[in-house]
Amino acid sequence: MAMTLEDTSSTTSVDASRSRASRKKTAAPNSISPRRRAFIWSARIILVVGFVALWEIAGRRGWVDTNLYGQPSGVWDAMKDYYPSERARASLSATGQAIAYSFVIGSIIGMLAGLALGLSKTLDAIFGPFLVPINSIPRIALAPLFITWFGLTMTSKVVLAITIVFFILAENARSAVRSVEPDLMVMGRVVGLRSIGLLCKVVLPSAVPTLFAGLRLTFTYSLLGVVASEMIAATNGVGQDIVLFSSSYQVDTVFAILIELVVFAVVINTIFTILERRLLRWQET
Amino acid sequence: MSTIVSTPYISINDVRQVFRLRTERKAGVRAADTRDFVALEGIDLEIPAGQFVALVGASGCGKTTLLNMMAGLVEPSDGSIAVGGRQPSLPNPEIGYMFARDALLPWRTAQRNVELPLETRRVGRAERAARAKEMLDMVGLKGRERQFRLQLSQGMRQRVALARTLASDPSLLLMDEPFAALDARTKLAMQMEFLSIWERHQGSDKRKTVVFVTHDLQEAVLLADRVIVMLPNPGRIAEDRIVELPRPRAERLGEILYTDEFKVIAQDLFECLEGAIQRPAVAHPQEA
Repeated sequence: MAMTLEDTSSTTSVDASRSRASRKKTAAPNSISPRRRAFIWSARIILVVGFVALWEIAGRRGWVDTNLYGQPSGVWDAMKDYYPSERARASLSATGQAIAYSFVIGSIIGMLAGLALGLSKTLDAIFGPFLVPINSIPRIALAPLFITWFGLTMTSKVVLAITIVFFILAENARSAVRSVEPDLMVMGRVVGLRSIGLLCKVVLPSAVPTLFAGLRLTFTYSLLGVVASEMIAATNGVGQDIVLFSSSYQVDTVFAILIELVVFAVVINTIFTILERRLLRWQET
Repeated sequence: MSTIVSTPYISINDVRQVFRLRTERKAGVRAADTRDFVALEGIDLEIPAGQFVALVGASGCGKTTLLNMMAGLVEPSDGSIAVGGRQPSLPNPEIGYMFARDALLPWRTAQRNVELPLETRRVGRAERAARAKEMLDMVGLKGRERQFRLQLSQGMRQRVALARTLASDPSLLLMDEPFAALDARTKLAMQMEFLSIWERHQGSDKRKTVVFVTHDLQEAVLLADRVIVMLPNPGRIAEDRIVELPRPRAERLGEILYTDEFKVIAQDLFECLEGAIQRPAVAHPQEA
C-alpha cells in the first residue's frame, strides 16, 4: 500500500550519501603515501638545483651574456651585498608600509562597498553598472595621474594600489553576500533575528570563506600596485631599486630583489593559510 | 459550525494567496502578460491550542505557503489569519520552525546552533549553554555538543535542528516536512522522539500546538490528532479528519503502523484523497 504522494525522501537521501562520498574522495589527496611524497620532493629539488646549475654553467661557458642575464653565483654575491645595505632596508620598509596601507584601506572600503551593494538592491542598481567599466581601466595608466596629483609620495603608491584592490574585494563581498543560503536566512528570521542580527550572525559568517579568498588576491594585487607605481616614479621603494639596478645593468641585484619579493609574498601567504585554517576550522569533515 | 467554547489558537479566515508569476519579458509586451498563480483559495481553518495537526498534500497544493503564513513569513493576499489572537509577524518568540533541510549554521558547533534562538530571547550565556546541552541530550546527541555540521550525519543534523526548534520552548511548532530527507529507520526514530517529547508536554501548561506539513499520509495519520488533506490548483482544503488513535503513541509507533485501526484510517483517507484527485478541480472564477 504505497501512500506516499510524492516520494522525495529516497532521492534526497541518495543525493546526500553521494555528496558525502565525493567529499571523502576529495579528502584523499591529504593521505599521499610517504614514498610518493619523497618522490615529489626530490623531483622539486632536482628541478630547482638543475635549473640553477644549468644557468650557472651557461654563464661560465659564455653561452649567455652574464651582463644581461646574470648568473646564480653573481646573484648570491648581490644578495650578500644588497640585503644588509641601508638602501635595501629603507626600500623594503617603504614598500612594505605602502602595501600594508593599501591592503588595509583597500580591503576595508572594498568590503564595505561590496556589502552595501550586496545588501541593498537600490545601491546595487545605482552603482553596479559603473563597476565593470571602471574596473576595466588598466590601473597602471592612472599612475602618472596620481603622481601628478600627489607627488612622489607614499600616497601615490597607496592610491594606485587601492584602485586595484577595491574592486576585487567589492565584487568579492557583493557575491559573498548574495550567495548566502536562502534556507539560513529563513531560519535566521524565524529564530527571531532582525536585520543587524541577521547580518552579524548569518550573512557575515557565511561570507567569510569567500572573503578570505578575496583577501589573498588583495594582498597579491597591493604588492603589484605598489611596486608598479614605484617603478613609474617614486623617491624610494623596491620598485625604484629594480629600475635603478636594471638600468645600470646590475642584473644580479635585480634578481636578488625579486627573490626578496618572493620570500616576502610567501611569508604573508603562509600567515594567511594559518589564519584561514584557524578561522575556518568548521569546514573540516 | 459546531460551537467552540474557547477561541481557537489559530484561526484562518477565507485566505487566498496569489503569486504573481513573471513570464518571460519580451519587447512590447506589457505587464498585463504577467500571470497569476493561485496558491491558496478559500482557506478556512481553526486550530485549538495543543492540537497536533498534519497538513498533507502533493507538492504545489500550498501547504508550505499556509505554514509560512502562520509563521509570519508570508502575508496572505486576501483574508485574515490570527495566531494567538494576533496577526503573525516576525520576530515571534512563540514559534519554533523546522524544515527538511537542517539549516544549521555550519560555522557553529551543535551546541551553539541550539543556543541561537535563545540568543534572540536574551537568555544569559550560562543558561543558554545549559539549556542547549539539555536539549541535545534529549535528542540523543550527548557528547556531540562541540561538533560542527560537517562532522555530523544527516540524521544527527536533523536532531540538532529539532533541538534548536524546541530550545526556546515555543508554544507553536511549525514543521515543514522535518523528517522527509531521512532514511526510513532514522525517520521512525525521529518521529518517536519528537512525538514522545510532544506528548510529554501535553498535560502541562507548556503544551504545544503543532502544524506538521508532510506529503506522507502514513506519517500524518501516525503522528497527528487531525489530518487535513490539501489539493492543488488552486491550493485548497479537501478533507479535514480527526484521527481517533489513542495517545500516547510514541512508545508503540512501530506497532501502530500494523494495527487494523491505523490501516483503516489511512486507507480511508487515501481513498478520499484519490477520489478528490480524480474529481476535476472546481472551476474557480477566472481573473482575466
